[in-house]
Amino acid sequence: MALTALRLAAIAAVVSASLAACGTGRENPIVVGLLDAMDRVTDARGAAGATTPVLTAATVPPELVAALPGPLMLVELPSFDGSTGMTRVGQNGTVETWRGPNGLGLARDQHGVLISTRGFGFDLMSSNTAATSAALSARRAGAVARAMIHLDGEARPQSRIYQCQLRLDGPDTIAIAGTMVGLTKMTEHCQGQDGYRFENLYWLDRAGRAVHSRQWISPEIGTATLTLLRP
Amino acid sequence: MQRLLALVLTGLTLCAAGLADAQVEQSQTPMTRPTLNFFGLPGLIDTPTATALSDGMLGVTASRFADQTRVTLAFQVLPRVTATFRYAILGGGFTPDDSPPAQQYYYDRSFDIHWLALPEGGWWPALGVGIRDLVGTGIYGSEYLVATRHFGADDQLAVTAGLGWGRLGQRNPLGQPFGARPPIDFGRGGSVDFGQFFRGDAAFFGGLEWQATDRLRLQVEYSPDLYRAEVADGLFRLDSPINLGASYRVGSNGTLGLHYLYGTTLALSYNALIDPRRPAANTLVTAAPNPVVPRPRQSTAYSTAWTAQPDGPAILRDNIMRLMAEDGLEFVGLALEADRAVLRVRNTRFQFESMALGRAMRILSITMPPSVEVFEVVFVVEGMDVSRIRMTRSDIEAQEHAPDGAAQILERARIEDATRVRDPGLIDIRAPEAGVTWGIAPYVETQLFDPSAPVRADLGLRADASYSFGSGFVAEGELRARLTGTLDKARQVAGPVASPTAPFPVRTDAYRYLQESDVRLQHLTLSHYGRPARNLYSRVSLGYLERMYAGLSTELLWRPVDSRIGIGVEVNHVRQRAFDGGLGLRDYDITMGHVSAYVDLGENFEAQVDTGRYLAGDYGATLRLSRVFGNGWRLGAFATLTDVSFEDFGEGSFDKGITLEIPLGYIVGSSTREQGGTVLRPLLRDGGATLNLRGRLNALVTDYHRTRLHDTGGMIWR
Repeated sequence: MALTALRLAAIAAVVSASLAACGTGRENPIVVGLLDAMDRVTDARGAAGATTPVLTAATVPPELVAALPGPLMLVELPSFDGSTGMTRVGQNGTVETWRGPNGLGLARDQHGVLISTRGFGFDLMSSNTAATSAALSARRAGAVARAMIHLDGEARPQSRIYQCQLRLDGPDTIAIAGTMVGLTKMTEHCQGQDGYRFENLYWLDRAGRAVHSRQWISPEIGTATLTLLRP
Repeated sequence: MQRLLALVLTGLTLCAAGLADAQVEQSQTPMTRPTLNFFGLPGLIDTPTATALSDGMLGVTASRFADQTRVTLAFQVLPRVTATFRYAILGGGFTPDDSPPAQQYYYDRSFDIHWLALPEGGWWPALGVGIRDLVGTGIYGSEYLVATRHFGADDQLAVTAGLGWGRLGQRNPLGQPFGARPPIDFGRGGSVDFGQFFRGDAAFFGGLEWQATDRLRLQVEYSPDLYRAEVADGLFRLDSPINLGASYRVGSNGTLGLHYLYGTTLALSYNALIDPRRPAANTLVTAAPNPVVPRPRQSTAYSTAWTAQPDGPAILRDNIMRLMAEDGLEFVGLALEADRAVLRVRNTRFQFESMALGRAMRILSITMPPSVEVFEVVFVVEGMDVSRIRMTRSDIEAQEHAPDGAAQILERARIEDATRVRDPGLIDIRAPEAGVTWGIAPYVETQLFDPSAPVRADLGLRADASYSFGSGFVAEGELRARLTGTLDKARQVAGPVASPTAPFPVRTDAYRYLQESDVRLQHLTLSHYGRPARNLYSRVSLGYLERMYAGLSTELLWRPVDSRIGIGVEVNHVRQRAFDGGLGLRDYDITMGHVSAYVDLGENFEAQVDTGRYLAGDYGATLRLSRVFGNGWRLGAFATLTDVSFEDFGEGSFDKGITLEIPLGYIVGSSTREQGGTVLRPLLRDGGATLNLRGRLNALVTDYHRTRLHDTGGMIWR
């Protein structure tokens, strides 16, 4: 499931593959297995001999952003060696739902803190990040706790509490779609009860929103870098 | 059964691709992850240790030395109980006794059980008890008491000592603490021979295992097994009781071993551990769902003017059908009134049923006018309305992103029998009930661990079609054309039983169907599924029910939606089909059937007891025990005792076996309800035989009952 670079046409299309062998009946396991194996092989080949560079926040062409309508976000996924564009498809209270053309989706709160992912595989099912979110919007350093829920292999929710330290790193300038943007950087160091550690980075605008961030999803997926190209 | 090979092959490919490396590695020591010995149980090389796999783990081993190959499947049934099925292939004209060999290879199937009686703790060692070859022909028959203690900061060194009987009591016996061992009765095999266990000579065994590096383990053991029969047939020579071994972990779940046995022989071994709870592929990568669309907040009541809009029903139906098609759910019907909507759904895609529920509820939130506050999803299986799940729209809006939203929404939902309340009648939209589905696909059919060959398989094409008439009537058929394979080489190994009271060959004739049909009608039936009353489900099937039998099958099941218990009655009148797979019939017919009790024992264990009359007219009962994992893995064992005597039954004495079902989604990582499964039986004979019916009710309907919806509840917002 490698991700290809952001493509104009792909943004609007939601791809769904039908795996029936032939006919209207149920999926055929042999065919599913073969297609799946082929998919992996081509993916592996594609990743090895990739010619198109993966788009990053800095290298997204401004023309591309201008050509696409509505709210737009770039999601970089180091563990998939790729990046994808996402559009906003839902808003429930303070939570926004975003989705890309390849079945990937995520939800974040109004300050840009990641709440959940979908379609990644080892998804972040849900989280309680209220304390982090409040501290970020006030640019307040200090201790915050967060809860994150993942599924185990039997699909049972496993909730873990992480104790985190937010640090105010100060002003930082980063390139987004060819433009240098002055933002405030904050770093969140988290540690779980089992000793598991991860780090989130946030670049905040004046309104206290994370315009650019690198946030942890799950042990298997690692982190995603989210860049709001247009709110 | 034909899907197993596909699953196994896919599984192996994926394992080879190193997907398991996506799993987070855990520390592995001889204590947390014991070595599996040549018998497939926790141990060193040929001897056992007092250790156990992690609960629920499966271990597959293969070993080879001196023209002997052993393949085993171990399962950690309970935290301290390991069970193993073993298939051994002995060459060189081996026979267990003095009789001349019947064929070049001798195939032996056997079961072992290993109990970790006392886990290690404080200063004392772990204690284990085991019985090898519990119900087989006894060629590996042995029993043991064993103690193991780990030493070192990381438990690197394991010291084991034990006392063995049978094969493990042959070298330098210490005496017969529990009396003499009666001679092995090869006669029929298959029955538990309690008279033998822990009897006869007992001898010492023991060994050391050292975790040299993260991946390398070294073993040395003293084995009292003299391999008498193997030595007598010239298969093997022993110069010493000492075995040496080195095993190296490959990837996160495989181990390769090289061994030097009994001072004379090199051996190779491989084993892999499979955790059913950890998917082989990345967990489900099904596309993200459509999000909930919350209603605009307003202080006055939402307008209900839409109920009078002439084109309203058509618009709602089109929107719902489009979104459901996107999710792969089938629209069956929509019943509406101003504040309540009932959506009928057929789930042919999502293996985690609550995932289908969550997506259907979200589709309602996107499409329903704001005044509709109560959402109900009715799951339809084979035309039967099974369960009805009611949620309020406000809860759905509030819990979509809540940290514990999955648990909360199910807590607030009402799960009830679909027939309990009436549907709203203001607007009623139904998808056309009549319809054809068909498919042409390849198939692989396998016969594993047959007494005459380890693997036989056919590859062919199958064409199937089904037509729904509506009102629960379905006609279905499947035609199979065999292209190539070895199943026609199957033969009756253990010959017919010569007794005049032996049962009619209701199943031992199976090989003739394989030999005499290249193109065959697999099944062709007209069925009706229904809901005669609350908590009751019914099925009537008429036609060519399975490969070997045609006739009428009827079933009635009582199973409340929230009950851990179900009672079913099945009555069939069938006639044996002609060997050529056509429409012809033979002149054996029988009325048979069962009363079945289904019990959910909790802790992921299920039991089923069938009592009644079997295919050969014998009366008896079957007990089935299964361990069911939340992700759909199912491992079980069954045994049937009937009034057919052990002598008349023939080899094996009575019908028994183990069953294994693996969801395809576990392997390929996408949403599919397909699964692979197999039944491993020592021998399929005529006593205690039943029909291989499709569409038995209990398995169909309990997928949408409370327990399963709660067990898969973590997926509701997925």
